[in-house]
Amino acid sequence: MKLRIGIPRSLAYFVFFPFWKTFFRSLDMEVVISPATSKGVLDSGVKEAVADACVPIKLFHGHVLELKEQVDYIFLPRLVSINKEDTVTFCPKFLGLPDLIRATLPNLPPLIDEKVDLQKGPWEIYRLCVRIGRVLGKSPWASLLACRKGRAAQQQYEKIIWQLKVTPAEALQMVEKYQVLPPAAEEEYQLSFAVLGFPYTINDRFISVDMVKKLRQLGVRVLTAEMVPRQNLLAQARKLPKNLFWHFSNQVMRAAMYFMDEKVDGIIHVTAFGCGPDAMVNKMIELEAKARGKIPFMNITIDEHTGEAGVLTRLEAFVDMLKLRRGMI
Amino acid sequence: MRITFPHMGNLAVALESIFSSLGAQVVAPPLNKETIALGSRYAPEGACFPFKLVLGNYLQALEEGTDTLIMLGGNGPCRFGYFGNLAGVILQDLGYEFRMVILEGDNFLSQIASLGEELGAGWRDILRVVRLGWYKLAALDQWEALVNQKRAVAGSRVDALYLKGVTLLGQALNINDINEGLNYIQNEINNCLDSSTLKQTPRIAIVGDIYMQVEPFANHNLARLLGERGFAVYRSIYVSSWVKHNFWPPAKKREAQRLLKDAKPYLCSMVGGHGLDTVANTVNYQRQGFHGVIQILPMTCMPEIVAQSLLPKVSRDLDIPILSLVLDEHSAQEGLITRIEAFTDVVRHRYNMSRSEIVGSYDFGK
Repeated sequence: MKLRIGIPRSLAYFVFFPFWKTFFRSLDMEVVISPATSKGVLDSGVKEAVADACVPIKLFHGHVLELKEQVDYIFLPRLVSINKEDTVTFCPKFLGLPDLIRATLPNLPPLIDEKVDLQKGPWEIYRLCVRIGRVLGKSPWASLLACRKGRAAQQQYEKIIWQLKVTPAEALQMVEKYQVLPPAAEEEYQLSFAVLGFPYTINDRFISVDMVKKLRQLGVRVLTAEMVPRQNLLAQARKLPKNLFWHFSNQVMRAAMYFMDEKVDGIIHVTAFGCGPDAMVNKMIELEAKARGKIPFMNITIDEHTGEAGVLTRLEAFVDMLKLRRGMI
Repeated sequence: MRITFPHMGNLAVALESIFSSLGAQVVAPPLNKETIALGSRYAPEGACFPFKLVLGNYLQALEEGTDTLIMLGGNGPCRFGYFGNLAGVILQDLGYEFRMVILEGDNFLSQIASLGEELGAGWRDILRVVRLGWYKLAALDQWEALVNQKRAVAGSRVDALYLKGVTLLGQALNINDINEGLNYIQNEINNCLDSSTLKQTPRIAIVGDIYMQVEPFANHNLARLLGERGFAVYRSIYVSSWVKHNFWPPAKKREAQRLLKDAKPYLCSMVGGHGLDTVANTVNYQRQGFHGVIQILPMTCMPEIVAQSLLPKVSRDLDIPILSLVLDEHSAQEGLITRIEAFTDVVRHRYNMSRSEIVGSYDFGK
């Protein structure tokens, strides 16, 4: 029987899932993803996790619990760095995630918690794959081949996001079902907004109360940080006095500056309550937007109690205000 | 040049000594309720308590007419490394005019040199005053450690001696003066008690975020609260011990390896800030026979939250009471005292139980 590898549908899932799915499938494993976030998943996570953690971490606990009974291994790598930029790592909660999960949730299947530290050089990704393959009893050669296939799948996935300007959640859907969804008609959109935040908050339809869909229904084109080509983000990085230490926050900050250059109609920063980096980044984007003048900016903080109606009211008010200003109504 | 730096426990005394000996005018308003009010008004809501105090302290100093702000940088992933940059843009937005000097590891020396040049001091002067400041800091930290340990048996006399020591240090002009003062105060404190009583005091260790540990204003003087309730208090970090472990690369590496070894299997990676230190030191204190551990952290502190979620397991496995205190600008002292007393009752009860097995008598309570 095939070994079953569980991947929680949260945190890094939205960034790297195509890579790991292809990798494990090429190694003849079955990949099990936890179900989409629901009230039940969130509640079970909130119950187990430490009270002061941010909502994405609590949610992650819930996703791991969903997988607990179904799989032989849970894939939970320790993310340290995923590109060459020095001093850029992840938030402490990511660095300690395997230990945190192990201490809080007892009786889990074994965790694959290899360290992902790609700063070490271009060959580190292959070494990492060989290490993971060894845990699963696969030969280094098989792991290397699987790694190559994974990289191809990942590239294709990122290309879909850039070219079709879809959110990672939609791109994942396309990759899953091997079909390209028809793009929405351009003329439907009267405004374009940059919706910035961590991939695991914006793309999780439950925790973000499906903000992307709501904005589109209000006639807004939604742009996210993933839709900006990587070199454009790096060009923005040079304008900042100092890199932020957290990979995802860097993406948000740089994308905010990029979209301000591109003159989007408005910026919405989606933050998670209790998130450390967000508290800093939010203020920096706010001050940057203020310094450039007349760039509408709104912050929406989500947590485990976020109500759909409250968010919708704020989105509608923001959109109405902008339409009024542009003379559209 | 009118210079200011954020308050952080005993560090302020050392920095004040360094900059004023170099001929700068030091503006260092003490932390008070106004600091908190100003800081939490202009800082982002979700920023940690130390950032709010730093920002509030800068605002107080700017109102008093300072023109140069000093801050330490860093490489995270704790938010501390970005304090200077964020405070800079917030203060600029508020319309203040100032110069922000953020001492970063890679250009630390050149920044110090250019500051010295402006003040008309050469490397020789800088080295001399920094050495003097360092000795003052080390002396203060030694006294503080001693006072924390002995307050339980010697009472408030040791606090008076500590204050006397601070005055002595203020007058000290060279290292000899400091050493004399150091010996004098240490002897006086030791004379307050005979060593046999100390052995009978239950010991509590404080671990957690560095700022919350070293700044009594931020932690409601936790060490004193515990001392008054009859506990010898040990702290995992002092500013001088942090400097010793971080400014000399081989020492830094050695310390990191020790922490990783002690924290295993609970935490197997550096998580920035003092998250790993908290877990490793808790394990270490249990091995040394401590009777309880208090973790202290500001609300939303990322590294300490990782440690906080691991500590219940450490507590269960190693059978040691651990209390996590999350503090921010809204913490009231009465609530804090209630929690501390509930905890110290547990610790004292367990302590008496363990002793009753040895001496054959069991006295409940004190």
